[in-house]
Amino acid sequence: MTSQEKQREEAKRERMYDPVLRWQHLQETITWAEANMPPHLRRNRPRVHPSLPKPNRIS
Amino acid sequence: MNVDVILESFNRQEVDAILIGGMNFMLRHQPVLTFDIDFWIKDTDENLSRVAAALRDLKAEWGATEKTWGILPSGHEWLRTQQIYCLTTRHGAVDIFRSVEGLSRYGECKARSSIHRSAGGQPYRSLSERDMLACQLALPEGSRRLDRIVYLQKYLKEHP
Repeated sequence: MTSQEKQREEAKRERMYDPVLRWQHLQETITWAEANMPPHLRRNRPRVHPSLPKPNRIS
Repeated sequence: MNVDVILESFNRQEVDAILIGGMNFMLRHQPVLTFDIDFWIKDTDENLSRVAAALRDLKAEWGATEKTWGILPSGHEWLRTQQIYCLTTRHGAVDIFRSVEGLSRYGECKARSSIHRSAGGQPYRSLSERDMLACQLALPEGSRRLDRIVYLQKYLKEHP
């Protein structure tokens, strides 16, 4: 497998992707990714005062 | 993309696969922008049959050309015609790799991989950091993700 093969396959899919479905999938991916991020990397997360200990990382 | 539904379908069909690419890196390490889910699959007839079943469950579409693009052909022989397949499914874009640049044996990489769960509770097998780095270094220089390489090199130094 070469990166050229991958690029060709991706370009073909891009052309065949239903635009409405693609938009919906992008929105869902952003939501899903947000839910799967460790708490300290999430947007709109509860903030803590700098003097308090940072939330634990989840690996 | 509903990644949990895709993982669930692969798990239900007992597909032997390792999660690779941006989604794997995002789940295990840092937020990166990615809009497809990449699976490296064990390249045996039995497993290809399972992969085809999982993709059919997800209402996948693919074609060797744009003219033949549509619902998947029957059976799994079509999965023998290329090394990589970029498909659409009802739940998001899926890439299937029968081989991965920079990585040689599936069994060896699987032995180094580890199993984790998504926030939705779906288990997935994750490519090891060492192999993630090998994938990046195997790419042509212009296609490499330097930030990911630097991160993985630092990670492997701290977690030998």
